[in-house]
Amino acid sequence: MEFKFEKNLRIMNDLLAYCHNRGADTYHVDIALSTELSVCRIEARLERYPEAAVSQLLELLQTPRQHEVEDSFWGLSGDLDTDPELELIGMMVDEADVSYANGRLVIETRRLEST
Amino acid sequence: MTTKLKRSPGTLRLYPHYRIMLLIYGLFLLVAFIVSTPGEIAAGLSRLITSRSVLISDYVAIGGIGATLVNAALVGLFTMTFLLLGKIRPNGSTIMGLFLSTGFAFFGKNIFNMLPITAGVWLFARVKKHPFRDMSLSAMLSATLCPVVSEFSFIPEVGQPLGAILGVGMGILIGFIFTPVSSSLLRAHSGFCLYNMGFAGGMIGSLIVSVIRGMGMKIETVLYWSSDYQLLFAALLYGLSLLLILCGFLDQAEPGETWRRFKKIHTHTGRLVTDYYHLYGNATYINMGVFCAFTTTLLLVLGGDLNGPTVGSILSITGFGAFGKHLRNATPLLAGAVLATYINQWDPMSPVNTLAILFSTCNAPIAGQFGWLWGIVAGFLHVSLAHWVGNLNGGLNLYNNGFTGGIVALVMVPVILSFYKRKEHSDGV
Repeated sequence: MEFKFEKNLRIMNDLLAYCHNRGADTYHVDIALSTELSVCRIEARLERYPEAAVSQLLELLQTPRQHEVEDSFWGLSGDLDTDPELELIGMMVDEADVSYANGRLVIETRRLEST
Repeated sequence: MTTKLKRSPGTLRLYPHYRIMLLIYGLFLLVAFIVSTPGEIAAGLSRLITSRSVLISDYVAIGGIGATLVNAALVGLFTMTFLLLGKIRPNGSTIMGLFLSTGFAFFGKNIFNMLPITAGVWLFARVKKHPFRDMSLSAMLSATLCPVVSEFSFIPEVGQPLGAILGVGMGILIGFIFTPVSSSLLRAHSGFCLYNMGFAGGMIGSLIVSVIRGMGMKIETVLYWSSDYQLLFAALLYGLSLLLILCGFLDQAEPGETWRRFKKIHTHTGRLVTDYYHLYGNATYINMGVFCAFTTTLLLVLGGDLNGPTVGSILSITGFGAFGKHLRNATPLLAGAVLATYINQWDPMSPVNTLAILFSTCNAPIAGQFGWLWGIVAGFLHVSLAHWVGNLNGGLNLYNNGFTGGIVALVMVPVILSFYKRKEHSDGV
C-alpha cells in the first residue's frame, strides 16, 4: 500500500487533534506497522468525556472502509487541527475501538494494508 | 503482526441507487426519442462528438435536445458500468460522481472525449500496481479536462488521423497525472472547496494552455447558449426532485425518523469528506431533491435560462446533496453570488454569472464551518473571480467554477482560521 506511513501518521494526527480539542493534557501513542496491518493506539488523559461521545466517535470511526474515497481524499486527513476528519479516518480503517474509564480515553484503529 | 482481516471482494449487484440512476437514464432516453427522431439524434451526436466542447458549449444548441439527452444517458450508463464492474457499493461520493458526470454531459463531456482520460487513470493504476476500482472517483471526476481531447482531436490544420492520435494521447497523459495532482491540491484549501477536481483541472489546463499559447496557437472560449426548452427542462428537473424526495421516503425507517435524519444533515459543515448517504441513508435523497427544486426555482425566479449548461449545473449540485451541500450551508453563498451579479458590469443573468451563481455553492463548507456572513463573502468573491479565471485555461476546464472556488478557499480559509475559535464541545463528538 502506497503512502503507508504517511497515512498512518495522518490518522494519528487527527486522533491526537480530536483528544486535544476535547481537553486532553497527556497522551500515550503506539503505532505498529507490518506488511499486512497497521495499528494506531492512543491513550489520552481526559477529566471529562460524556458517554454519548464514546458511541458517536465509535460510529464515525466504524464508517465502512471506502478505498475509492481514501484514494482521492486521504490528503485531507490530519490536515486541519480545528476540525479532525473523523469520518474520513473511519473510511481509511477497517476496525476501531473506543473506551473511556478512570479519566483515560483509549482509541485504537486497525487498518489492512494489503490490497 | 498478522491479522484475520481480509478485504471484501465486493458484490456485483445492482444496488437500489443504481436502479434509481437507471430509471433517470431511461427517462432521458424516452424523452429524447419522443422529442427527436433517431436520424436527428444520430446527426446531433455526431456534431457533439466533433465539437470543441470547450466552455461554454451548450450541447442542446450544438446537437439538439434529443442528442443531448442520449449523450447524458450514455455517459451516465458508461460511468455506472465501471462502478458496477468494480463492485462498488454506492456511497455519497459515487452518487455525487454519477450526477456530476451526467450533468456535464449536457455541456462538454461526451462518450468520445471521456474515454482517453479514463484510460489514463487506468494506466496510472496499472503502473502503480493499484486496483483500478480504488481510483473510480478519479476516473469519474478527471473528466473535467475532456475538452482537451476534443480540442486537440479536431484541430483543422492537423487533420486526421493525426489529430485524433494527438487528442487521445493528451487525454491519456492528463488521466495519468490527474490523481496525484488532485490529491496534493486538497491540502491547499483544506477541503473547503467541494469541487477539488475542478481546482486540479484548472491548474493542469492553465499549464497546457500557457504552453500552447506560447507557441503562438490560439485557444479561446466559445458561447453556445440555447433557451428553447424552458418548459421541458423545468418539468424534467421538478420531476427529478419529486422522484428523489419520494425515494427518500422509501426507507425502512418511519417517515418521522426519515424527516429527523433529513434535518440532521443540516447540522454538518459539509467540509470534505462528509458522506450523507452513509450517515443518513435514504434521507439523503430528500436533501438532493429539495436542493434540485430550490436551485431550479431560484434560477427561474431570477429570469435565467434552462438549457444544457444550467440543467447540467443543477444536476451536478444535486449530486453534491449527497456529499457536502444542504440548504443551510449553500444559501449564504447563493445570496452573495446573486448580490455580485447585480453589482458587476455584466447582465445579472449573463451565462457566466448564471453558472457562477449555481456553482458558487462549491464553497458551501465555508458557510457551514464559519457562518453565513463568510458564506456571503465567498459567494460574492466566487462570481467576481469566475469571470476571469476561465480565460486562463481557454475554457478547457469544464469544472471552471471548481478552479474559482479553490482559489477563493485558498485565500479566505487561512485568513478566517487565524481569527477562528472552535466552539466548545457539547456532549456529542
